[in-house]
Amino acid sequence: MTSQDITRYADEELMQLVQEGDPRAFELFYDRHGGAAFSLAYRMVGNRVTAEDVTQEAFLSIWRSRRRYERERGSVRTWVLGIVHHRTIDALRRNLVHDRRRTSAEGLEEREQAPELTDVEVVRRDEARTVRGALETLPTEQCHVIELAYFGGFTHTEIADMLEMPVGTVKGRMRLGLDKMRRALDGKAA
Amino acid sequence: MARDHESYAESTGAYLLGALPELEKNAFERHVMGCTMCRDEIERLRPAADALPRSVTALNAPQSLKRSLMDAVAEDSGGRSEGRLPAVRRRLASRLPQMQLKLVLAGAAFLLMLGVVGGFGVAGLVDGGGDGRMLAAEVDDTRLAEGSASLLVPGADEPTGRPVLNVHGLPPLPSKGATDQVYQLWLVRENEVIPSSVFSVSADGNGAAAIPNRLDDVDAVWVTRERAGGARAPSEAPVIRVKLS
Repeated sequence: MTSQDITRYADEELMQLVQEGDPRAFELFYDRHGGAAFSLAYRMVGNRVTAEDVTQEAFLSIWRSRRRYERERGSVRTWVLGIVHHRTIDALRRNLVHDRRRTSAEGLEEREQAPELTDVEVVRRDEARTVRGALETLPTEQCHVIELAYFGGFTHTEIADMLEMPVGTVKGRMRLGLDKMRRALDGKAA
Repeated sequence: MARDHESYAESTGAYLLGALPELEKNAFERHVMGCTMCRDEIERLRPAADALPRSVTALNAPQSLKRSLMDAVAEDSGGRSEGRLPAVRRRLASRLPQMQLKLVLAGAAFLLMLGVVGGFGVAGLVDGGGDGRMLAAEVDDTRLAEGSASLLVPGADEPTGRPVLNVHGLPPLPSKGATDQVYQLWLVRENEVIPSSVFSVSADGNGAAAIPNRLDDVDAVWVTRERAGGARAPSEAPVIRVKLS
């Protein structure tokens, strides 16, 4: 098989090679998902160095536990971003980001928005706008708790303390917000 | 069982968002194993939670990250149990001194520039409950037509707590294509201006941003408007300021 061949593989097919321990397949796998993973980590921690560390940890854990991927449980990208999200929350809760921002002055060009190079990127940008649109349909208080939880890495009790409201209210807003967002996304997909 | 279900069912959203503390998460997962209703509810809501990371503005991952990762994979494949660390150390060691110098110079220049900037209202302590503090922010009303902000600073009795800036009624920034903009937080310390979180606001101008750092030695927190993805140095004078010392 040539490298030309595997670039045409769908994610799930590529993942089979990764599961067999093929580093070349894993490099291509990173090329496809590394940007999205880094973007999510950066959105959550707010600095480049920690975002890099978290992304690297996440991809190494994927490499080391690659046999655990189950195709039936969803898309490869969702699986990757779920791992990055969990890793980043762990980092936030361990306070790993403390005082490391001073090292984030390098590589301005690397922090610019990804250029729209391919049809895939165009589709992903449209998808991002769709999801942001769905978030904007939520009442402010629901959007607020969802963003604090998902992107801020706060627990429901921390959010309740912060907003001075009962934990049950925070949980309720999270559930109602996700429900409304799901319906908004369904509507867009229909 | 019914009582169990009621008490756990309201946690489905928090679970999917990763907002349950570890013990509560473990208990929830144990319950879900035996509760079809909760499992169904999780699967019903999961597409919304799974979509959240796709809302993030796409950035290019640094090339150095790929090199470091593939080095670590090669080391790992070679059987070195500590494979990742040498690659990470190499990456950090190669850039630290140069980066610190650049940032201090950029921060000092920008502080000089700000010596002539004015237009802010007066801030003060809003709420001194407990060890934590709620600080009102100064909003530059010559450049932001409306809006208010406050900074919640956890007290020393909350060592893992993180500061949060809450904003209300700020003008939403452009979010279409190449003109995407975000609000960005900056930590000001002596002659340094250190980049921090980026955030956007909802259509009605409300939003919140967590600051991953403690603010013990920070003099002020600023907010500027930057292009999506953030900047390494502020491109304008702050539109919001919170003085901490």
